[in-house]
This record gives sequence, structure tokens and C-alpha cells, in this order.
Amino acid sequence: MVTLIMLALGLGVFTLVGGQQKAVADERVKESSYNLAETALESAIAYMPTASVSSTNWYGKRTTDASGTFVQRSCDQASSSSNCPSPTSVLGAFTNAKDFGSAGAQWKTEVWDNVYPNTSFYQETVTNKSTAVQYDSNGDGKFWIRAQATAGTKKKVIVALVTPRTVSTAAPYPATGIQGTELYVDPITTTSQVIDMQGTATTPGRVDLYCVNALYPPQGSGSVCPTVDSTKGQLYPWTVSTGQPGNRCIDETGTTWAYYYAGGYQCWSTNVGADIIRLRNRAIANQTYYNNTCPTNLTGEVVFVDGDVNTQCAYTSGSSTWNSAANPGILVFGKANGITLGGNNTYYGLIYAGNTTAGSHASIVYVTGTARLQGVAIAEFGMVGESGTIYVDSTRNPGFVYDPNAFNKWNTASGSSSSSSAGYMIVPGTYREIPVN
Amino acid sequence: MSRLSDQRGFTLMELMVATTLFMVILLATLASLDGFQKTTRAAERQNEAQGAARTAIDRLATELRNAGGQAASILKAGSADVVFSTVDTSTTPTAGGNEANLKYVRYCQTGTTLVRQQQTWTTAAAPTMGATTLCPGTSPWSASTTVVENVRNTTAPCAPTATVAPCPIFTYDDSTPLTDVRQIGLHLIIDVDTVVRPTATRIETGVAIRNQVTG
Repeated sequence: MVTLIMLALGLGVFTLVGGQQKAVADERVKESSYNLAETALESAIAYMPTASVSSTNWYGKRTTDASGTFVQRSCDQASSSSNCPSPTSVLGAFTNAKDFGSAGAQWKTEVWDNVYPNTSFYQETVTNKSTAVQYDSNGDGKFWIRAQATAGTKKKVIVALVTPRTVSTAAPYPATGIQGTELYVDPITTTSQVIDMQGTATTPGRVDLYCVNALYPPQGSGSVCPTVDSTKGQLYPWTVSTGQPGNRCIDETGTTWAYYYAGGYQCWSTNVGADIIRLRNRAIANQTYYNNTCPTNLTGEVVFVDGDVNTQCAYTSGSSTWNSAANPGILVFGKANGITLGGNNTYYGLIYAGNTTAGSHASIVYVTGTARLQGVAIAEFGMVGESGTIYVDSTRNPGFVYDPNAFNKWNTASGSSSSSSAGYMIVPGTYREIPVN
Repeated sequence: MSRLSDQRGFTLMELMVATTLFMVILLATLASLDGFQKTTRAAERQNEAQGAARTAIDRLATELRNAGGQAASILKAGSADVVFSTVDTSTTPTAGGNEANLKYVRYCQTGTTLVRQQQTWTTAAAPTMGATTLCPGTSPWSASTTVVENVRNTTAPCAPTATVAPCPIFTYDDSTPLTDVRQIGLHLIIDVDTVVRPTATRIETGVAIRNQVTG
């Protein structure tokens, strides 16, 4: 009797577990297929050839066979074209035979211009119909990439509208070496505190200040904006541009930044808000993002210090060298209140201080002791009126050295560049999985 | 030999004892079979309910992955009520109108049922999202369709991590403001019969919102 009851219960449970095991296995195979399709899509974007997207010779041009029939171009796991994703890299993580069966993982990517049924909607068998084109025929710089993958019997299809990365560099780039509300070299009477703005022959440095009460060279003691005496060699060469007090290039709301400046004074980048968001994401990915705390190590492609901390990050002792002249970094203070770079420390790269928290700050970028900043310094005017001050009293000669290479790094790290080699990106909001026929 | 050739047969008492024993064994067997059938039926019903929940959560995950097309992909982020903008892939858009074929999709819980509604339009400008005070909502929301039944999230905790009901169907990594939503967790507690075994099953998945463009 007991055996029968146990058998009945056991069979019931077995029925439940067996069915659910199969459902879970199916789900895993579907997810594997989806992940493979997504990998193929990302790889196709990364491998997208960058030249002549409007040419019929580009990427997936339509060709005809001997009978004049159009031949569709695509990439798959057997492709060897340099315009196609590397099969090895795409399939690297998809080797589970249980998911992919004896046929192995299979994927395919295609390019279709955004023409049918319109420029903003992808529809299977319409966008990729037999007479459609596989290059940027309408010249809008956008096209769909369709990626499909098959694992076992599960097929997934993902599409996304893709476009070249936008140019974000504004006119003064890369001349700006120092930008802020005020620039101080202290004491004004000394000859030992020096800012070297020479840069290179093709990219000399420049100081841009949001202020109007400037005295033009030669500067004398007691002048403000900038408080620098060029006759003592404190700033050479003298390339100071001033005007439009109280303006700033970005605005900050919550955790977003946007281009803010609307006056006549040219900001160094009209995409600075979006750039900062991308830099923050890059720092998060690189594990160099610090929220409400100051990092001890400033070395890194992008180090991002965030949070409403009403204090500065101070490095007033030691003799560390962060980054190098050949490989400068970017140090962003999104909300946090800048840096005191002291001791015998040296930082190579661009320091950007958003200056977006309320409160009084003496110096947003402060180079003191025997420290040196080699690169670029930018301090925004404060959200509620605080000065964006760059202050140099380091006795190392020079305490600040302009290096245009640091500004170049901003563009590469933020994904903004005037070069077509910056590659392609998904048009926001267009990524989607589509039903499989 | 003499016993076999005996023509006297069984006594009445012997027959009654044998019959009684047979009846007892038969009843016990039937009881076991009945128990087996009940257990199997309950398991089948729970299996079917879980299958339906898996299908629903799969569809919901796909739709959430596709959420986008506007500055804010997520329009409402409640514990049992989510609204998002997505692309309608089932129809061809109207030329000069809603060319991106956007629509609003809503999933909300009413009683022990998760329902789905959508709001479509043909104009170029997206309309205001319909009211979400009721579930299901009234026009401009479409008629609701049942997605999953036997949802017990309101009366069950998110065991084993929580011990107190309710268990939210939708959880978010950050929903203030709505543009900060990057990941949505989906949790369904399914139980066809809260009294009879098998006990409730928790089916979950997580979705990364690919199309959030700000935040």
C-alpha cells in the first residue's frame, strides 16, 4: 500500500519535473540563439567598412550572376571577407554542443538600406525584399543591419539601424589648453611658477576664460582674470581669450549632462554633455568609476569621479606619476568638486571639472607643491555661480604644461571624433528582435 | 488428494472472509489509483500553468527588449504595472504618420491574472498615454488579453529571499526618473491551487533595456 502511494506521488512529481526540465532546456537554447544573434550584430557593426558607404561597391553590393539574377550578399560563419565579422571571434563563446547540435552555431548578417517601407521602420520581406539595396542608396548615412542566429531549432533575428559616429569637435579644438572662469598663478610676483602653453607647432595652446575684466599683456600684479604676470614668464606664450562671464558649456540634471551654453563664446565641444555620459559609461566599463569617493590611483584611460561630494579630491603628498606623455588619460569630476594636485605628483592627461555641486570652491583644478599637470585643464563655471578656477602655485617649473595629445584622447575615449575611422553606432531606440517567420 | 476430490466446496464463512479480503485489497488499490490520478492531474495543471507563464514571460521579455523609439522607453514602472513604448512589428506603418510604428504596451495584474493592453495611433505625433489607474484600463487602451492566470504574487512572498507578501511582478534597477531604468526583473509566482500540492512555482527572468538613450 505504502509502495503504491509513494509510486503515485513519485510519478506525479516526475511528470511535473520532466515537463519543466524540457521547458528550461528549450529556454536555454533560445537564449543561446539570441546571444549569438546579438554577438553577430555587434561584430557586424564593429567590422563595418568605413569608406564609401554610398557606393554600390560598398559592403554588400548587389551583383548579378551569369543569368542576370541579383545575388544577395551576406556574412556568415564561413565568411572570410575582411568586411565580415570574424567567424572565430563571433563563435568563440558558443561551443556548447548541447545547445547548437551537430550543425554547430550558425549565424548570418546582412545590410539593408533604410528605404522600404520608410526610413525609420524595419519590416521583414519589405525592407529586405528582393529589389532592395544593400548600400546607403539614399545617402542619409543610415542602414539596417540584420543579424540572425540558429541554435538547434531555435532561430532569432535582431535588427538595428546603424549610422557613423557623429562628429562632435567644435571649432577651437584642439587649441584650448586651459578653460575656466579664472586662472591664477600665485604669487603674482614670482618667476618660479610657470604655465607652459607652447604645445606643438601645429597645435599651440590657448587659455579661454569666461570673464571680462582681463588686462591684456603685459599683465601686472593685482590684475584678475587672469591673475597672471606674463612679464615674469608665468604664462608663455600669451594666448588668452576672455569674455562672456557666467557661462558654462554643460548643464547637469540628476545624472545627465547636456550642452548648455547659448552665448556667442564658442565652447570647445557642443557635444560635451553627451561626451561626458559616454566617458562615464567607459569608466564604468573599465572599473575606474568612483561615486562619492576619491580614487587613490588616477591612472587610466578614463577615471570618473562622481557624486555630490562637496569636497575636493586631494593628492598632496607622494611622488606618483599617473599615465604618461605617450598615453595620457582623462580625469573627469562629473559632480565632485575638482582636484588638488600637490606633493611631487605628476598627472598626464586632461582634467575636466564639471563644478555642478552647490557650495563655495576656492580652486577647482589646483596644482600646488611641486606637482605637475601635463595636458589640459577645464573647469566649468559653477551651477550656482561658483568660479571655475584653475590655480597654479607649484614650484616645479613648469607646473602646467599644455599637451594637445590629451585633448585628442578625449575624442577617442568619448567616442567622438572628426575621423571616419570612428566606426558606426546603433541609432538609439532602433534595436529590436523581430518575429521569425 | 482426498481434499481435491472433496465435493463439499467452501463454507459460507470461508467465502465471506475471502470476499472481505478481496474488497479491502480492491478498495485500497482504487484509493491509490485515485490518489495517483489526482496527483497527476494537479501536476499536469501546474505544468500547463507554468508553461503558459513561461510563454508569457518570454513574450514579455522580448517586448521589453524592444522597448524604445522615444526619449523615454519606459512610461510607467510599477510593481504590478508596467507601460513601455515599443515598435509594432505586426503592421505596416502609415506613410506620413506614425512611420516608426510605435505603440504603447501595458502589462498589469488584476486579481490573479496578468493582462496585456496596447495603445496604437497613426498620427506622426505620439499621443498621451492612456490612464493607468484601473487595470485593465479603458479607452484609448485596447481590450485586455489574458497573458497568465493563477498569478499569486499578491499573496506570496518572493521566497526564499523574502518572507512577506506581496512579491512584485516587476522590479527595476533604478526607476527615478524613468529614463534611468536599465534592467527590469520579471517574477511570476504561479499556483493553480493554493491548497493542493504541488506548491507554488516562481518563474523569473531579467531584461536589459537596450534602447534607453538617456540617463
